[in-house]
Amino acid sequence: MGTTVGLGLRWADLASTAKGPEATMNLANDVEAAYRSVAANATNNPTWSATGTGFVAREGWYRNRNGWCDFGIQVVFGSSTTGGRMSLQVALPVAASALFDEQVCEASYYQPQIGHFKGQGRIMGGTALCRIAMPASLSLQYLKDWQHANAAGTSPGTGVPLMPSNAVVYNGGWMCVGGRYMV
Amino acid sequence: MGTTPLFGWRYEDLPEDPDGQEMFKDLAEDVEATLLSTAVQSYTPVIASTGTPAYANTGTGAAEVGRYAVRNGWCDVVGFIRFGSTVGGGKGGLTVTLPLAPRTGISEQWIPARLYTPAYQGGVWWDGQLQAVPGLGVLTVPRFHLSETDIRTGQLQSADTGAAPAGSGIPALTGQYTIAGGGYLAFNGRYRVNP
Repeated sequence: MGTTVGLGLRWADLASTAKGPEATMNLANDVEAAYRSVAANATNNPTWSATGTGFVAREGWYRNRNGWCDFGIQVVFGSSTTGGRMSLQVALPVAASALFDEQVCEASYYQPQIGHFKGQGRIMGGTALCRIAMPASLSLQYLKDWQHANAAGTSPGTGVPLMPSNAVVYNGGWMCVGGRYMV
Repeated sequence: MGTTPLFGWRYEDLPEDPDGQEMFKDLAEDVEATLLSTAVQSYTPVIASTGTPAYANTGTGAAEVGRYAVRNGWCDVVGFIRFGSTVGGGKGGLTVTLPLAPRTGISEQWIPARLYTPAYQGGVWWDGQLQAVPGLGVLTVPRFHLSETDIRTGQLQSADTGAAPAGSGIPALTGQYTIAGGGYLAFNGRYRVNP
């Protein structure tokens, strides 16, 4: 039995018993295993940062293959959701590469009384954490860490995006984050 | 000798003498070469300024890291550039390199990017994009909002070429250069490449 140098794909050499079908099967299986490092479209139940509870739904999916992880996460807020204090973050299915301090992905957020916001996910290097950055307020476009309330827990009026009269995390709202990152 | 149409994997066809051992060896090695060619590879993303003085990333913390992989005509790329403690952002628009030129015939492609300005408003991020066009080869134009209140986008620059550069960058930071030590530019994305 011969094998290729890099990936060890098996092929029948002269010393092998003549079994063409088995040799074909071995090669096909080895190619498949090398191509699919893990099963595709595994599901993922993401966790919210420790300060929040009471979701209507949390959904996630991912595919980790060949050094890259594709993922998507949605968190839907219900009537009993509490937004907690300070920066909000979600857990990723697989830790990100430590080569990069941060990686970039897209995020969006909906506050049903106000509207939609476009932000970004901050995939933190060497961890399985994704922090969420959102516009600082309705008029300021730079991004800050998304938060329902500051350390003092005052809401509304201390969150990001800043909404003087509305809560950031509110019944019927949601946050989606997803993309592709190196693992 | 036959070959598959896309990757050129060799297989025996009828005019050849039967040689099962060689047939399997050729096919296995060709498949392996294709799979390994899609492995993650490293590159160094480079920033340059269109004006003078030139951009120069120096000092403590300066770093440029990039990785990419190509498969079936798509390039996945990740880049992270941290500005060192004595970075000079240069004047004029800045460009950032990709590992491979974008596909000819697609007028524009966009890669999500993020800029961090550590000394502005306590440290804030800016949502932007790298604009890839075929005529620029591996160079891209990073585009960000003109300011915190102007939603239009322009080419990233630390300062313009005028006489009073601080605060003249894109995004405009009142009284500050846009590129500052401790800040960074990060990008992740996928784009079409040739062929």
